[in-house]
Amino acid sequence: MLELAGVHAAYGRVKVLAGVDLAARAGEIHCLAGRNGAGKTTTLRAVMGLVVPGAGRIALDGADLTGVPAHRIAARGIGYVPQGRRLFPDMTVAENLEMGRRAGTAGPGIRDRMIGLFPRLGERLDQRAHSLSGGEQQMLAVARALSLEPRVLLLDEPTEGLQPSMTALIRDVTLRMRDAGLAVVLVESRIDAITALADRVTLIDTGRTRGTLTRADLAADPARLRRHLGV
Amino acid sequence: MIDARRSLLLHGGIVACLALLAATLPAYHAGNLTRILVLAVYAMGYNLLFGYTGLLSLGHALFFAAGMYGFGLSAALGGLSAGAALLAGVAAAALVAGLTGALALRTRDVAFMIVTLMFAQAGYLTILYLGTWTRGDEGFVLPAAARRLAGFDLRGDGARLVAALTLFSACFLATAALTGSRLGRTLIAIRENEERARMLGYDTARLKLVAVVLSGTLSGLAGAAYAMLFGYVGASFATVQYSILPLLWVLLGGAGTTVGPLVGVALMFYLIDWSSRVTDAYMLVAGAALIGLTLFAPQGVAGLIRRKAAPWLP
Repeated sequence: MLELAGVHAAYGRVKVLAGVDLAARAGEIHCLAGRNGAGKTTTLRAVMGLVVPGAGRIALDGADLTGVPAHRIAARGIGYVPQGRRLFPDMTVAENLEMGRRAGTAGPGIRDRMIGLFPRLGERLDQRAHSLSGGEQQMLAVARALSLEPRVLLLDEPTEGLQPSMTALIRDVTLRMRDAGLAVVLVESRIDAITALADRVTLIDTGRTRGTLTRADLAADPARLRRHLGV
Repeated sequence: MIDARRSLLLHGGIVACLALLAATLPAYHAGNLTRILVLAVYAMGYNLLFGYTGLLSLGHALFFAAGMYGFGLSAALGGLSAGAALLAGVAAAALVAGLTGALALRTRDVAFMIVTLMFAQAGYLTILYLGTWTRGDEGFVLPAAARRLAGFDLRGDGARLVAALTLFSACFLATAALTGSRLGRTLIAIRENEERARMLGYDTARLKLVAVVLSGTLSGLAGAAYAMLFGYVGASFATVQYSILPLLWVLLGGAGTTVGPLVGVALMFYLIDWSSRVTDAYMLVAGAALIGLTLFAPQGVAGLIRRKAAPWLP
């Protein structure tokens, strides 16, 4: 579904990606695992068109996304939940969800479906996003991305800094999206999250792909992931 | 839905109060109100770009002057009727805003401020350079024919106030509707987090250009109306002072609120009016008041009300 082949990218003169390969399929959670600064977030930003690759190819269902403007990429069916949530802080929960829905093709009923996934949001519809707790903000960020009805969902450390109950909820929703047929690309640096969620793991280090592990590989050699993450 | 009803009541109520004021105020204050209403339209135009879209321009005098000179030159030199000249003024402002936006939006943040300021300075110098037609610094007075609209002679105080109130009300209700619309919410999203809006699939570059054109057109309408109602067109309205004033009005009244521009213009107008009677250093008083407000109510008067008492305030 989503394929990256030999993607290179840089911020000015600083090379960040130097050959990233990744193939995320429908109905799987594909983890992108690496240490801080390995290039995980930049890989997602390159998919979203926020960083223009210097070389390589990014494709969705075979259609080239390289060089496509960022605002057209979401319309192709890719939802992105960035690190730090990036909500519209002065807008209410309802308005944030509506911004996501209008950008896609979903009908007004999508809001009820999101409230079904995150009932807490239903109680906070008229509350401004900046006044939500960290966990509620993350729910809203995920719900807003899902309001686009994407085929691919990119999640950048979605449970970072959340309390255990919120973490469990976000993980549960991630699994449900996978079961609904979405290709989920999950950036993670926590081993417990990777082993609990990942169907496959692409290892990334200093901007390069260092291999892909299946669930069976993880079970057979759990130390490899630990060595890669340096923990 | 409750918020929409409140909003309708608020905006309708303000228009009704202004009509009541227009009917009852003594002549001096009625004259002030006329000027305040026209300048509030200018501030509303500025607020669309700064308050709602988050783009800080220092060149709006260019749009105000484009409307003013578009009106004045087409009426005085082209012999157009007031109605046709008004359209010409608005069209001139829209065109100038479109061209300025297309170039200035290639920059952002401080560079955007500087580029818009430079465009406005270029506009001011162009007015001086074309002195044969614009009469340069001196400006020109409009003929009586340019001040008759739909059978009303706008040289009379009463007709002028009614015209200003009509213009203000139409623009006030239109901007309230716009800011609550899909386009308005998207502009707010750009202000809040442009990159996020782009990632959700909104073409923020195009939408920001739309915001510049709408803002410039409304500012130009105010400039054309100012010329029509007060009968004078001058280069002083194209100076940097007229780019700074709408920023101060909007900051004082409340950026990103529909009532802020009116509140800001009225407060600033009467603050200067009052302090100039008390001391020659009246701009010092105005400056101190602005510093105080920035320190203690940085969101402006309407913004403070929204934060403390009325979170639904649009």
